[in-house]
Amino acid sequence: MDPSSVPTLRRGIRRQFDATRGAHVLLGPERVIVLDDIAEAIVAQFDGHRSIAEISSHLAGKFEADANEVAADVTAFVRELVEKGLASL
Amino acid sequence: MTELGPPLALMAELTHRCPLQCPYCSNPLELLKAGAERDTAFWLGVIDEAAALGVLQIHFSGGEPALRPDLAALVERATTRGLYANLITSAVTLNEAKLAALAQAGLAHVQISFQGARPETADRIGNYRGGHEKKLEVARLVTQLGMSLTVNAVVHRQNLAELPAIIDMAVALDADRLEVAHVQYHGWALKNRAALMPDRQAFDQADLLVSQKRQELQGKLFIDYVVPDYYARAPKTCMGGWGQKTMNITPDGRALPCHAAETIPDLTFDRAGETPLRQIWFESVAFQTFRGTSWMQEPCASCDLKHIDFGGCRCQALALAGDARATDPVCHLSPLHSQVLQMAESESGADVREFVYRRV
Repeated sequence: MDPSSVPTLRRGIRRQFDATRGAHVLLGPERVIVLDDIAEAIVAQFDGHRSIAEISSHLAGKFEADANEVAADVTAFVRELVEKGLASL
Repeated sequence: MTELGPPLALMAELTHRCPLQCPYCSNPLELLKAGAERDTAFWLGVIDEAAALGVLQIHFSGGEPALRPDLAALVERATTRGLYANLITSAVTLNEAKLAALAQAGLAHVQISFQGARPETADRIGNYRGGHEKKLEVARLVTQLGMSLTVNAVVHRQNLAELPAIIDMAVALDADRLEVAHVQYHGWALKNRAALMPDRQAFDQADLLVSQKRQELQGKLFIDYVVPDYYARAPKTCMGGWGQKTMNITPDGRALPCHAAETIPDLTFDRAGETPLRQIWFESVAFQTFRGTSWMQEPCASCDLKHIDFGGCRCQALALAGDARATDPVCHLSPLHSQVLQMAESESGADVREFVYRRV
Protein backbone atom coordinates (compact mmCIF):
# COMPACT_ATOMS: atom_id res chain seq x y z
CA MET A 1 0.00 0.00 0.00
CA ASP A 2 1.47 3.34 -1.10
CA PRO A 3 2.17 5.61 1.91
CA SER A 4 1.30 8.64 -0.21
CA SER A 5 -2.25 7.43 -0.95
CA VAL A 6 -5.08 9.28 0.73
CA PRO A 7 -7.73 7.19 2.52
CA THR A 8 -11.35 8.35 2.69
CA LEU A 9 -14.51 6.69 3.88
CA ARG A 10 -16.57 5.45 0.95
CA ARG A 11 -19.89 6.91 -0.07
CA GLY A 12 -22.57 5.69 2.32
CA ILE A 13 -20.18 4.98 5.21
CA ARG A 14 -20.86 6.99 8.35
CA ARG A 15 -18.78 7.41 11.48
CA GLN A 16 -20.59 8.40 14.63
CA PHE A 17 -20.41 8.09 18.39
CA ASP A 18 -22.72 5.48 19.88
CA ALA A 19 -23.66 6.27 23.46
CA THR A 20 -25.00 2.76 24.15
CA ARG A 21 -21.67 1.10 23.39
CA GLY A 22 -19.56 4.07 24.51
CA ALA A 23 -17.53 3.95 21.30
CA HIS A 24 -17.35 5.34 17.81
CA VAL A 25 -18.81 3.11 15.13
CA LEU A 26 -18.58 2.89 11.36
CA LEU A 27 -21.92 2.20 9.72
CA GLY A 28 -22.45 1.07 6.16
CA PRO A 29 -24.75 -1.20 4.20
CA GLU A 30 -24.97 -4.42 6.25
CA ARG A 31 -21.84 -3.30 8.10
CA VAL A 32 -21.33 -2.26 11.68
CA ILE A 33 -17.78 -1.86 12.97
CA VAL A 34 -17.23 -0.79 16.56
CA LEU A 35 -13.97 1.15 16.60
CA ASP A 36 -11.50 0.74 19.44
CA ASP A 37 -9.50 3.79 20.55
CA ILE A 38 -6.67 3.21 18.09
CA ALA A 39 -8.98 2.57 15.15
CA GLU A 40 -11.00 5.66 16.02
CA ALA A 41 -7.84 7.79 16.24
CA ILE A 42 -6.91 6.68 12.73
CA VAL A 43 -10.34 7.11 11.12
CA ALA A 44 -10.73 10.53 12.73
CA GLN A 45 -7.77 11.66 10.60
CA PHE A 46 -9.47 10.83 7.28
CA ASP A 47 -10.12 14.26 5.79
CA GLY A 48 -9.67 13.59 2.08
CA HIS A 49 -6.30 15.38 2.06
CA ARG A 50 -3.93 13.63 4.41
CA SER A 51 -2.00 10.60 3.19
CA ILE A 52 -1.31 7.40 5.10
CA ALA A 53 2.22 8.70 5.76
CA GLU A 54 0.96 12.04 7.10
CA ILE A 55 -1.64 10.38 9.30
CA SER A 56 1.01 8.00 10.65
CA SER A 57 3.50 10.70 11.53
CA HIS A 58 0.80 12.85 13.11
CA LEU A 59 -0.35 9.97 15.32
CA ALA A 60 3.22 8.93 16.19
CA GLY A 61 3.84 12.48 17.41
CA LYS A 62 0.56 12.73 19.26
CA PHE A 63 1.00 9.44 21.13
CA GLU A 64 4.82 9.66 21.36
CA ALA A 65 5.06 6.26 19.73
CA ASP A 66 7.55 4.60 17.40
CA ALA A 67 6.96 6.01 13.90
CA ASN A 68 7.58 2.71 12.11
CA GLU A 69 5.22 0.81 14.37
CA VAL A 70 2.47 3.39 13.95
CA ALA A 71 2.94 3.42 10.18
CA ALA A 72 2.59 -0.38 10.12
CA ASP A 73 -0.59 -0.23 12.23
CA VAL A 74 -2.15 2.51 10.15
CA THR A 75 -1.32 0.75 6.89
CA ALA A 76 -2.76 -2.56 8.10
CA PHE A 77 -5.94 -0.92 9.34
CA VAL A 78 -6.48 1.11 6.16
CA ARG A 79 -5.96 -2.06 4.13
CA GLU A 80 -8.60 -3.82 6.23
CA LEU A 81 -11.09 -0.99 5.68
CA VAL A 82 -10.47 -1.03 1.93
CA GLU A 83 -10.91 -4.82 1.81
CA LYS A 84 -14.18 -4.51 3.71
CA GLY A 85 -15.42 -1.87 1.29
CA LEU A 86 -15.54 0.85 3.93
CA ALA A 87 -12.71 3.06 2.67
CA SER A 88 -11.15 3.84 -0.66
CA LEU A 89 -7.82 5.35 -1.69
CA MET B 1 -19.20 -15.79 24.84
CA THR B 2 -19.60 -12.08 25.22
CA GLU B 3 -22.61 -10.72 27.04
CA LEU B 4 -25.65 -10.16 24.88
CA GLY B 5 -25.94 -6.55 23.72
CA PRO B 6 -28.85 -4.80 22.07
CA PRO B 7 -29.69 -5.65 18.46
CA LEU B 8 -27.48 -3.98 15.87
CA ALA B 9 -30.22 -3.75 13.28
CA LEU B 10 -33.97 -3.50 13.02
CA MET B 11 -35.73 -4.81 9.93
CA ALA B 12 -38.92 -2.80 9.48
CA GLU B 13 -41.22 -4.70 7.13
CA LEU B 14 -43.60 -1.85 6.46
CA THR B 15 -45.89 -3.78 4.11
CA HIS B 16 -46.27 -7.08 2.29
CA ARG B 17 -47.71 -5.32 -0.76
CA CYS B 18 -45.39 -5.37 -3.77
CA PRO B 19 -45.81 -4.71 -7.48
CA LEU B 20 -43.41 -7.58 -8.22
CA GLN B 21 -44.31 -11.25 -7.78
CA CYS B 22 -40.90 -12.93 -7.49
CA PRO B 23 -41.33 -16.67 -7.05
CA TYR B 24 -38.68 -16.79 -4.29
CA CYS B 25 -40.08 -13.95 -2.21
CA SER B 26 -38.97 -14.09 1.42
CA ASN B 27 -42.39 -12.98 2.66
CA PRO B 28 -44.59 -15.69 4.17
CA LEU B 29 -47.07 -17.62 2.02
CA GLU B 30 -49.88 -15.98 3.98
CA LEU B 31 -49.34 -12.38 2.94
CA LEU B 32 -50.84 -9.62 5.06
CA LYS B 33 -53.24 -7.29 3.33
CA ALA B 34 -53.04 -3.50 3.47
CA GLY B 35 -55.69 -3.35 6.19
CA ALA B 36 -53.44 -5.23 8.62
CA GLU B 37 -50.63 -2.68 8.29
CA ARG B 38 -49.66 -0.39 11.14
CA ASP B 39 -49.88 3.39 10.91
CA THR B 40 -47.20 6.07 10.89
CA ALA B 41 -47.47 6.73 14.64
CA PHE B 42 -46.76 3.07 15.35
CA TRP B 43 -43.58 3.04 13.25
CA LEU B 44 -42.36 6.37 14.65
CA GLY B 45 -42.72 4.84 18.11
CA VAL B 46 -40.80 1.73 17.06
CA ILE B 47 -37.98 3.90 15.68
CA ASP B 48 -37.75 5.92 18.90
CA GLU B 49 -37.67 2.77 21.01
CA ALA B 50 -35.11 1.07 18.78
CA ALA B 51 -32.76 4.05 18.96
CA ALA B 52 -33.08 4.20 22.73
CA LEU B 53 -32.36 0.47 22.94
CA GLY B 54 -29.08 0.90 21.03
CA VAL B 55 -30.05 -0.25 17.53
CA LEU B 56 -27.66 1.30 14.97
CA GLN B 57 -29.26 0.51 11.64
CA ILE B 58 -32.77 0.33 10.30
CA HIS B 59 -33.65 -1.49 7.11
CA PHE B 60 -36.92 -0.32 5.59
CA SER B 61 -38.20 -3.37 3.81
CA GLY B 62 -41.35 -5.18 2.74
CA GLY B 63 -42.95 -6.08 0.36
CA GLU B 64 -42.23 -2.80 -1.28
CA PRO B 65 -41.66 -0.15 1.42
CA ALA B 66 -41.88 2.70 -1.11
CA LEU B 67 -45.61 1.99 -1.43
CA ARG B 68 -45.98 3.61 1.99
CA PRO B 69 -46.62 7.35 1.63
CA ASP B 70 -45.00 7.90 5.05
CA LEU B 71 -41.63 6.39 4.07
CA ALA B 72 -39.76 9.72 3.97
CA ALA B 73 -41.19 10.71 7.35
CA LEU B 74 -39.98 7.42 8.85
CA VAL B 75 -36.53 7.83 7.28
CA GLU B 76 -36.30 11.33 8.67
CA ARG B 77 -37.18 10.19 12.19
CA ALA B 78 -34.66 7.34 11.99
CA THR B 79 -31.92 9.68 10.84
CA THR B 80 -32.77 12.23 13.53
CA ARG B 81 -32.41 9.48 16.11
CA GLY B 82 -28.96 8.55 14.77
CA LEU B 83 -29.99 5.37 12.98
CA TYR B 84 -28.36 4.47 9.67
CA ALA B 85 -31.31 4.27 7.29
CA ASN B 86 -31.29 1.72 4.51
CA LEU B 87 -34.02 1.18 1.91
CA ILE B 88 -34.51 -2.30 0.47
CA THR B 89 -36.60 -1.79 -2.64
CA SER B 90 -37.73 -3.14 -5.99
CA ALA B 91 -37.44 0.50 -7.16
CA VAL B 92 -40.27 0.28 -9.69
CA THR B 93 -42.52 2.75 -7.87
CA LEU B 94 -39.76 5.28 -7.21
CA ASN B 95 -39.06 8.42 -9.22
CA GLU B 96 -36.79 11.44 -8.95
CA ALA B 97 -39.09 13.47 -6.69
CA LYS B 98 -39.62 10.60 -4.24
CA LEU B 99 -35.91 9.78 -4.17
CA ALA B 100 -34.96 13.40 -3.63
CA ALA B 101 -37.34 13.54 -0.66
CA LEU B 102 -35.77 10.39 0.78
CA ALA B 103 -32.25 11.75 0.28
CA GLN B 104 -33.33 14.98 1.96
CA ALA B 105 -34.72 12.95 4.87
CA GLY B 106 -31.26 11.44 5.38
CA LEU B 107 -31.49 8.07 3.64
CA ALA B 108 -27.94 6.70 3.56
CA HIS B 109 -28.22 3.70 1.35
CA VAL B 110 -30.51 2.13 -1.23
CA GLN B 111 -30.51 -1.54 -2.12
CA ILE B 112 -32.25 -2.29 -5.41
CA SER B 113 -33.21 -5.81 -6.40
CA PHE B 114 -32.45 -6.95 -9.93
CA GLN B 115 -33.96 -10.18 -11.25
CA GLY B 116 -31.41 -10.61 -14.05
CA ALA B 117 -29.27 -8.60 -16.48
CA ARG B 118 -31.54 -8.92 -19.53
CA PRO B 119 -34.92 -7.18 -19.42
CA GLU B 120 -36.72 -10.27 -20.82
CA THR B 121 -35.35 -12.50 -18.08
CA ALA B 122 -35.76 -10.02 -15.26
CA ASP B 123 -39.29 -8.94 -16.15
CA ARG B 124 -40.46 -12.55 -16.47
CA ILE B 125 -39.05 -13.49 -13.04
CA GLY B 126 -40.59 -10.49 -11.31
CA ASN B 127 -43.70 -10.77 -13.51
CA TYR B 128 -43.62 -7.01 -14.06
CA ARG B 129 -43.25 -5.63 -17.55
CA GLY B 130 -40.79 -2.75 -17.92
CA GLY B 131 -39.48 -3.29 -14.40
CA HIS B 132 -35.84 -3.82 -15.33
CA GLU B 133 -35.52 -0.55 -17.28
CA LYS B 134 -37.18 1.34 -14.46
CA LYS B 135 -34.74 -0.15 -11.93
CA LEU B 136 -31.76 0.96 -14.02
CA GLU B 137 -33.16 4.47 -14.18
CA VAL B 138 -33.74 4.64 -10.41
CA ALA B 139 -30.31 3.15 -9.66
CA ARG B 140 -28.64 5.98 -11.60
CA LEU B 141 -30.67 8.56 -9.70
CA VAL B 142 -29.63 7.06 -6.35
CA THR B 143 -25.94 7.75 -6.91
CA GLN B 144 -26.62 11.09 -8.60
CA LEU B 145 -28.34 12.13 -5.40
CA GLY B 146 -25.24 11.12 -3.43
CA MET B 147 -26.66 8.02 -1.78
CA SER B 148 -24.86 4.72 -1.60
CA LEU B 149 -26.12 1.97 -3.92
CA THR B 150 -26.24 -1.78 -3.56
CA VAL B 151 -27.28 -3.93 -6.49
CA ASN B 152 -28.96 -7.01 -5.09
CA ALA B 153 -29.28 -10.01 -7.37
CA VAL B 154 -31.00 -13.16 -6.24
CA VAL B 155 -29.67 -15.93 -8.47
CA HIS B 156 -31.01 -19.37 -9.38
CA ARG B 157 -31.16 -21.80 -12.30
CA GLN B 158 -33.14 -19.46 -14.54
CA ASN B 159 -30.79 -16.45 -14.34
CA LEU B 160 -27.42 -17.77 -13.15
CA ALA B 161 -26.03 -17.67 -16.71
CA GLU B 162 -26.45 -13.88 -16.55
CA LEU B 163 -24.22 -13.47 -13.49
CA PRO B 164 -21.22 -12.12 -15.49
CA ALA B 165 -23.54 -9.51 -17.04
CA ILE B 166 -25.07 -8.70 -13.64
CA ILE B 167 -21.59 -7.95 -12.27
CA ASP B 168 -20.82 -5.72 -15.28
CA MET B 169 -24.15 -3.97 -14.76
CA ALA B 170 -23.30 -3.21 -11.11
CA VAL B 171 -19.97 -1.72 -12.20
CA ALA B 172 -21.63 0.33 -14.94
CA LEU B 173 -24.17 1.66 -12.42
CA ASP B 174 -21.32 2.78 -10.13
CA ALA B 175 -22.73 0.68 -7.30
CA ASP B 176 -20.73 0.57 -4.08
CA ARG B 177 -21.77 -2.95 -3.31
CA LEU B 178 -23.16 -5.99 -5.09
CA GLU B 179 -25.00 -8.65 -3.19
CA VAL B 180 -25.24 -11.93 -5.08
CA ALA B 181 -27.55 -14.16 -3.13
CA HIS B 182 -28.50 -17.64 -4.14
CA VAL B 183 -32.14 -18.33 -3.36
CA GLN B 184 -32.74 -19.47 0.20
CA TYR B 185 -35.44 -22.08 0.17
CA HIS B 186 -38.18 -20.90 2.51
CA GLY B 187 -41.78 -19.93 1.84
CA TRP B 188 -42.38 -19.08 -1.81
CA ALA B 189 -38.92 -20.30 -2.80
CA LEU B 190 -39.59 -23.69 -1.25
CA LYS B 191 -42.77 -23.90 -3.28
CA ASN B 192 -40.79 -23.11 -6.46
CA ARG B 193 -37.67 -25.06 -5.60
CA ALA B 194 -37.78 -27.39 -8.61
CA ALA B 195 -37.92 -24.38 -10.95
CA LEU B 196 -35.08 -22.55 -9.18
CA MET B 197 -32.43 -25.02 -7.99
CA PRO B 198 -29.19 -24.65 -9.96
CA ASP B 199 -27.10 -27.67 -10.80
CA ARG B 200 -23.77 -28.32 -9.18
CA GLN B 201 -21.74 -27.29 -12.19
CA ALA B 202 -23.48 -23.93 -12.56
CA PHE B 203 -22.98 -23.33 -8.85
CA ASP B 204 -19.26 -24.13 -9.04
CA GLN B 205 -18.87 -21.79 -12.01
CA ALA B 206 -20.66 -18.97 -10.18
CA ASP B 207 -18.49 -19.53 -7.14
CA LEU B 208 -15.31 -19.28 -9.20
CA LEU B 209 -16.52 -16.20 -11.06
CA VAL B 210 -17.35 -14.37 -7.83
CA SER B 211 -13.93 -15.06 -6.31
CA GLN B 212 -12.19 -13.85 -9.47
CA LYS B 213 -14.32 -10.70 -9.70
CA ARG B 214 -13.85 -9.94 -6.02
CA GLN B 215 -10.10 -9.71 -6.57
CA GLU B 216 -10.37 -7.86 -9.84
CA LEU B 217 -12.80 -5.26 -8.48
CA GLN B 218 -11.31 -4.80 -5.03
CA GLY B 219 -11.52 -1.20 -3.87
CA LYS B 220 -14.12 -0.48 -6.56
CA LEU B 221 -17.08 -2.78 -6.01
CA PHE B 222 -17.57 -4.76 -2.82
CA ILE B 223 -19.21 -8.13 -3.44
CA ASP B 224 -21.18 -10.02 -0.81
CA TYR B 225 -21.96 -13.59 -1.76
CA VAL B 226 -24.62 -15.80 -0.20
CA VAL B 227 -24.12 -19.43 -1.24
CA PRO B 228 -26.90 -21.88 -2.04
CA ASP B 229 -26.63 -23.79 1.15
CA TYR B 230 -27.98 -27.10 -0.17
CA TYR B 231 -24.56 -27.43 -1.84
CA ALA B 232 -22.57 -26.24 1.17
CA ARG B 233 -20.77 -28.48 3.66
CA ALA B 234 -21.43 -26.31 6.66
CA PRO B 235 -24.65 -24.43 7.34
CA LYS B 236 -24.89 -20.66 7.23
CA THR B 237 -24.79 -18.64 10.43
CA CYS B 238 -28.42 -17.75 9.99
CA MET B 239 -29.21 -14.15 11.04
CA GLY B 240 -25.76 -14.03 12.70
CA GLY B 241 -27.31 -16.30 15.34
CA TRP B 242 -30.91 -16.38 16.56
CA GLY B 243 -31.66 -13.28 18.60
CA GLN B 244 -28.05 -12.07 18.41
CA LYS B 245 -28.06 -9.18 15.97
CA THR B 246 -31.39 -8.44 14.38
CA MET B 247 -35.01 -7.82 15.23
CA ASN B 248 -37.66 -8.02 12.55
CA ILE B 249 -40.99 -6.19 12.81
CA THR B 250 -43.80 -7.51 10.59
CA PRO B 251 -46.29 -5.22 8.80
CA ASP B 252 -48.83 -5.94 11.56
CA GLY B 253 -46.32 -5.12 14.29
CA ARG B 254 -45.08 -8.44 15.63
CA ALA B 255 -41.41 -8.76 16.61
CA LEU B 256 -39.62 -11.78 15.12
CA PRO B 257 -36.04 -13.05 15.44
CA CYS B 258 -36.06 -13.62 11.66
CA HIS B 259 -38.53 -13.08 8.84
CA ALA B 260 -39.38 -16.78 8.57
CA ALA B 261 -39.72 -17.46 12.30
CA GLU B 262 -43.50 -17.62 12.06
CA THR B 263 -43.21 -20.96 10.27
CA ILE B 264 -42.07 -22.53 13.54
CA PRO B 265 -45.10 -23.81 15.42
CA ASP B 266 -45.65 -23.04 19.10
CA LEU B 267 -43.57 -19.87 19.02
CA THR B 268 -45.60 -16.81 19.90
CA PHE B 269 -44.46 -13.32 19.10
CA ASP B 270 -44.94 -10.17 21.12
CA ARG B 271 -46.26 -7.03 19.53
CA ALA B 272 -44.18 -3.88 19.37
CA GLY B 273 -46.09 -0.98 20.85
CA GLU B 274 -47.65 -3.32 23.44
CA THR B 275 -44.47 -4.80 24.91
CA PRO B 276 -41.29 -2.66 25.06
CA LEU B 277 -38.71 -3.66 22.43
CA ARG B 278 -36.10 -3.97 25.18
CA GLN B 279 -38.20 -6.55 26.98
CA ILE B 280 -38.96 -8.42 23.76
CA TRP B 281 -35.25 -8.57 22.88
CA PHE B 282 -33.84 -9.55 26.25
CA GLU B 283 -36.68 -11.53 27.83
CA SER B 284 -39.28 -12.84 25.39
CA VAL B 285 -39.62 -16.58 24.90
CA ALA B 286 -39.47 -16.29 21.10
CA PHE B 287 -36.08 -14.56 21.18
CA GLN B 288 -34.67 -16.87 23.84
CA THR B 289 -35.85 -20.22 22.47
CA PHE B 290 -32.96 -20.69 20.02
CA ARG B 291 -30.57 -18.05 21.34
CA GLY B 292 -27.08 -19.34 22.12
CA THR B 293 -26.43 -23.08 22.26
CA SER B 294 -28.31 -24.56 25.23
CA TRP B 295 -31.29 -25.65 23.09
CA MET B 296 -29.12 -27.84 20.87
CA GLN B 297 -29.27 -31.58 20.45
CA GLU B 298 -26.65 -33.84 18.84
CA PRO B 299 -24.68 -33.57 16.64
CA CYS B 300 -24.76 -29.78 17.30
CA ALA B 301 -24.41 -29.95 21.08
CA SER B 302 -20.88 -31.40 21.04
CA CYS B 303 -19.74 -29.68 17.82
CA ASP B 304 -16.70 -27.39 17.87
CA LEU B 305 -18.42 -25.04 15.45
CA LYS B 306 -21.58 -24.52 17.49
CA HIS B 307 -20.57 -20.97 18.47
CA ILE B 308 -19.73 -20.19 14.84
CA ASP B 309 -22.82 -21.30 12.93
CA PHE B 310 -25.26 -21.89 15.82
CA GLY B 311 -26.48 -25.06 14.12
CA GLY B 312 -27.57 -23.24 10.97
CA CYS B 313 -31.09 -22.16 10.17
CA ARG B 314 -33.96 -23.19 12.49
CA CYS B 315 -36.63 -22.64 9.87
CA GLN B 316 -34.75 -24.81 7.38
CA ALA B 317 -34.29 -27.51 10.02
CA LEU B 318 -38.04 -27.49 10.50
CA ALA B 319 -38.80 -27.46 6.78
CA LEU B 320 -36.41 -30.28 5.88
CA ALA B 321 -36.04 -32.35 9.05
CA GLY B 322 -39.43 -31.66 10.56
CA ASP B 323 -37.82 -30.45 13.80
CA ALA B 324 -36.72 -26.87 14.47
CA ARG B 325 -34.16 -28.18 17.02
CA ALA B 326 -32.47 -30.52 14.58
CA THR B 327 -29.11 -29.80 12.96
CA ASP B 328 -29.74 -27.84 9.78
CA PRO B 329 -29.83 -30.68 7.21
CA VAL B 330 -27.47 -28.82 4.86
CA CYS B 331 -24.69 -29.55 7.40
CA HIS B 332 -22.55 -32.55 6.44
CA LEU B 333 -22.92 -33.81 10.02
CA SER B 334 -26.71 -34.05 9.73
CA PRO B 335 -28.02 -37.56 9.15
CA LEU B 336 -30.21 -36.04 6.40
CA HIS B 337 -27.35 -34.33 4.55
CA SER B 338 -26.94 -36.81 1.69
CA GLN B 339 -30.69 -36.92 1.19
CA VAL B 340 -30.83 -33.11 0.86
CA LEU B 341 -27.95 -33.07 -1.59
CA GLN B 342 -29.62 -35.79 -3.65
CA MET B 343 -32.87 -33.86 -3.71
CA ALA B 344 -31.05 -30.69 -4.83
CA GLU B 345 -29.26 -32.53 -7.61
CA SER B 346 -32.40 -34.23 -8.81
CA GLU B 347 -34.51 -31.04 -8.70
CA SER B 348 -31.79 -29.09 -10.50
CA GLY B 349 -32.44 -31.36 -13.49
CA ALA B 350 -36.22 -31.06 -13.26
CA ASP B 351 -38.06 -30.07 -16.39
CA VAL B 352 -39.86 -27.21 -14.63
CA ARG B 353 -39.68 -23.67 -15.93
CA GLU B 354 -43.00 -22.17 -14.84
CA PHE B 355 -43.20 -20.30 -11.55
CA VAL B 356 -45.87 -20.09 -8.91
CA TYR B 357 -45.84 -16.31 -8.56
CA ARG B 358 -46.40 -14.78 -5.14
CA ARG B 359 -49.69 -13.00 -4.74
CA VAL B 360 -51.80 -11.73 -1.91
